[in-house]
Amino acid sequence: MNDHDICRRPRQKEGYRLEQLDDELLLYHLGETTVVYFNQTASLVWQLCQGDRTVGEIIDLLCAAYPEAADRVRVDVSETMTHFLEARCIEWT
Amino acid sequence: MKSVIIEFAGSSLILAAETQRAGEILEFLYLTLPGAPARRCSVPESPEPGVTLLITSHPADNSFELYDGSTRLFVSQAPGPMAEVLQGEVCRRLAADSQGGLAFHSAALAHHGAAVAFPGMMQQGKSTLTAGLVEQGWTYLTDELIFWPNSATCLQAFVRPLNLRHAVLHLFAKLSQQQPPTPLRMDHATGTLVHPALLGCGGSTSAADLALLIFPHYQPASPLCITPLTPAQAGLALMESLVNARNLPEHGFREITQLARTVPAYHLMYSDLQGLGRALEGLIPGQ
Repeated sequence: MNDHDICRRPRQKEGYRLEQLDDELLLYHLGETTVVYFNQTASLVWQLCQGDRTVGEIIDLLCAAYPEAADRVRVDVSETMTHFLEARCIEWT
Repeated sequence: MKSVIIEFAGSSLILAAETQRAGEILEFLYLTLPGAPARRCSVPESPEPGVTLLITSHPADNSFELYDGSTRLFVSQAPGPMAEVLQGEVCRRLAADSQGGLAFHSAALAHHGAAVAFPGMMQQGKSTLTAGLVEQGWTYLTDELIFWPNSATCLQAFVRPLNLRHAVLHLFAKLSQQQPPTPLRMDHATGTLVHPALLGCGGSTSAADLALLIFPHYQPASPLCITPLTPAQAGLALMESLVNARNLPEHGFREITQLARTVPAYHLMYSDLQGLGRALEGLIPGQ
């Protein structure tokens, strides 16, 4: 993810089947026959990628929800968004 | 002409041998297991077999040939290489047409009645690991193909000779004692096929309660490392070993995740087989 992506709004791509297993997620895209694994942090970020929040707003929201981990949130969200982009499971609105 | 119908994992095919020498290969691979019937049944709803693989031999040059209809698939000068190729071809075709459940590229063994599956693709050390656990008292089920029928609690294993590389055979005293020619071993270019009877296995297909999933990875000189997997991590790994996805609704994704939720799973990194059996025994629930 680039620095300017902080102002962009991510949205989940269509066509994925989703299964929640404990605090983690598996996504599967039938057409692309790809499966993506999300740990707990990525699962949270994924849920927030609805196309109505910027990456910066997602970071702010998670910092407010988990103030004890606020110093890690920006890094975690950035890494997670990079993972989403590499897996091609999100798009920018 | 000798023939056998192979049924497994909702799929089936016919193997036929045109000559007595060719028939000995079929005998070794599929017919000499104690109590092995001429027709092996697994899922009752299996479709009628359509594919016939034919093995023949030529007295003039002692060669063997494998045919699918009129298409010649393989030629060899010895029975061992033909047996190896045929064994692989059978598993590939059964897996490709499998339906009614999840088919995995996987070894499987049992310990005190509990089955442990070792899913993984090629070159992950499954066959060597399998032989090592047999030497340590585990029961051989398969080194290649397992099936988890829909709504099942029992794992089905496709019993076949264990394909062991020559380079590792010396590690297994029990298996090394049988030297070819013997009806229980067949050598090929890179290894040997070891009959299930030498491995303590008495059935043509085996079913057992699945207690554990182990994803093995052989890494030379590495310390033994067993890492528990979350259900999601196990589901991801299972998807990579699934061989009949295209035949299943939504490629078996929901059934995979359900399996991952219910069976404990671990990643295994190892370089030495010594003591491995005992280490894995401790992971089996209730043992």
